[in-house]
Amino acid sequence: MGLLILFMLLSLSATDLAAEGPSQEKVSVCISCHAELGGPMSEPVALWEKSIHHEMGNNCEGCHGGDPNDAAEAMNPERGFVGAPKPAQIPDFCGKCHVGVVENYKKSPHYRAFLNGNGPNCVTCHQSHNVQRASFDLIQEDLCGSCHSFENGQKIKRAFVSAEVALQEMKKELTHLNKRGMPIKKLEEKLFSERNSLHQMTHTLDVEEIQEKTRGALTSLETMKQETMLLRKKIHFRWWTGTAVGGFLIILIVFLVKLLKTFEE
Amino acid sequence: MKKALQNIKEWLETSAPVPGEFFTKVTSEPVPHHLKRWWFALGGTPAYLFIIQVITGILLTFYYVPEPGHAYESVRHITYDINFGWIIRSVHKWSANLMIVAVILHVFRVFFTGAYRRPRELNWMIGCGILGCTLIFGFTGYSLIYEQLSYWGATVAANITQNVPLIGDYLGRFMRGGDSVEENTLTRFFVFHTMLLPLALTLLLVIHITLIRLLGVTEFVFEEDKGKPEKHFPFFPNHFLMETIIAMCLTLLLTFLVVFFPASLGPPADPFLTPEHIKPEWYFYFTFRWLKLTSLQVGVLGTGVAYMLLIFWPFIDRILVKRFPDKDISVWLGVVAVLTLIVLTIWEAMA
Repeated sequence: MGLLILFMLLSLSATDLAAEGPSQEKVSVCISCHAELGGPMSEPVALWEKSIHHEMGNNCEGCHGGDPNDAAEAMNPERGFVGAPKPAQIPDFCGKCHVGVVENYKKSPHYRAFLNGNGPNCVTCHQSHNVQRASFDLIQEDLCGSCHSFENGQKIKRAFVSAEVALQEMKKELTHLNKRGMPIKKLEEKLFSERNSLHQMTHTLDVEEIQEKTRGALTSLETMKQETMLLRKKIHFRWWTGTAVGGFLIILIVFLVKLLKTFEE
Repeated sequence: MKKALQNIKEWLETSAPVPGEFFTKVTSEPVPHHLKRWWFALGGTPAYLFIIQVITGILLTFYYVPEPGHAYESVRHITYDINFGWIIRSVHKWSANLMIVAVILHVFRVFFTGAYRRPRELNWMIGCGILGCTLIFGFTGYSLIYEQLSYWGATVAANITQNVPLIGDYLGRFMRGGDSVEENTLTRFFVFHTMLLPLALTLLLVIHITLIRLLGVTEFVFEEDKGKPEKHFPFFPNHFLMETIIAMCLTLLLTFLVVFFPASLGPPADPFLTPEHIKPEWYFYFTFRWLKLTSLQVGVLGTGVAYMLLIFWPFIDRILVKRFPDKDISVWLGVVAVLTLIVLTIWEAMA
């Protein structure tokens, strides 16, 4: 009977059961209240639900503060609540989390123009609630061309895309090596840091610095490639050793089968 | 030299007064002729794989730390830093999978050849216990890795226990050692996996093999042997060699799997991030799909009832034989059950 019960314990249910675990997602009062309000007040919720923030588990209080579990305290400034920021506050508002990005943005001609009152801020390119995963597709003539020529944007995009292709290839290579049981933690960390510093650079808009940085990233990826080649050699060595052991076992099996036949005769 | 050997022999005979005839008798047991067919000689494979599991398992416990903060890191350390650690872990992983396959195939063979019938009902029930133990072994071992998917697998399984009638809450807490999967859960799974289950499985295997020796192996007569006198062959060396060849073939398969598909490691467990897709190991796919098709309580009870039917099948079969003497009802029901299991498993695998 005990075995039966234990066997039943091992059955797995659909993911709704998993929701009973520690990460149970409660509907915050921000969402329930704004959804009820309807009209323009409910728009942020609908937009946020399609955003990368939602996908990564960053809820309303992540940006706006306040208490999402208590309707009375939800919008209390003492609980850190900040409503919609004024345009001048936007870079620092987003910079609470995206520290490196804002740091680089503040070195850029965009920020200088922004301080003069006519430059773009974060939401100009990334939107406010419907924040999308950062992509080099954002650098396009329609968007950049609405304020200035696309010439520098083109150079920046070209430099980034060449590095991005190499980064993606390295990521694929590391996934393959991981499946083959190779230690890739350090390489993954290195790749992550390369990608991160490169992506942060997008906001400096300094063409020469970006081109130099992408060249540096490509050189660094070359070094990583050497390391992955060594890991591949290690895999091949294992394969050949395994094949040799397998060959020995086959010979042993053939010998044992012949021995068995001898006994049967 | 001769004298020295003679002295050792005399010392052994004095220290362990077991008559030589005993060993001769044990190893020369006549084996039924049908066991020359390889398909019928697979009963020993789970035992061989279990021995491999015990050896590799002991080696793994030298480095494994059953504590949430260290479990994953210790598995990573075994896999990537320890000399030959990747081999030991991969052998343990693949041998576990093959053991489950071997036990399931053995159960099928015994079922479809009717070898569970009188006087072997008890041994069939012991065999079902071995099957249950093997599956629990697989589950607890998978949970010990403490990577994201295995952690959530354990969480979901523990939550399922809440749906066992009457004692659900108690069972859930007993399994987890608290209200959620935490330090106590890992310790409990570790105790199950490395102490209680090996002890239980060893006991069941000893009883299983003893009963086989006491009752003898079911004798099958095939078409071509009908009318001929019963033939037997000696256990040693003939049958022993056959089992050795099967063991070597398994070792060859293990070598191939370990070298070309070594055990890797997913991301570490994150109690605050539920994965989008939670999937158990392949041997629970059928249950998982069954639970998706029914309500949770029906799913849990259905699995329990199915397992109980399997355990008591020799007695159910006797009733069926009495009522339908000329029909192989058991075989047909077995075919339906096996096909259902295969369909549910493939369905879940492709989802």
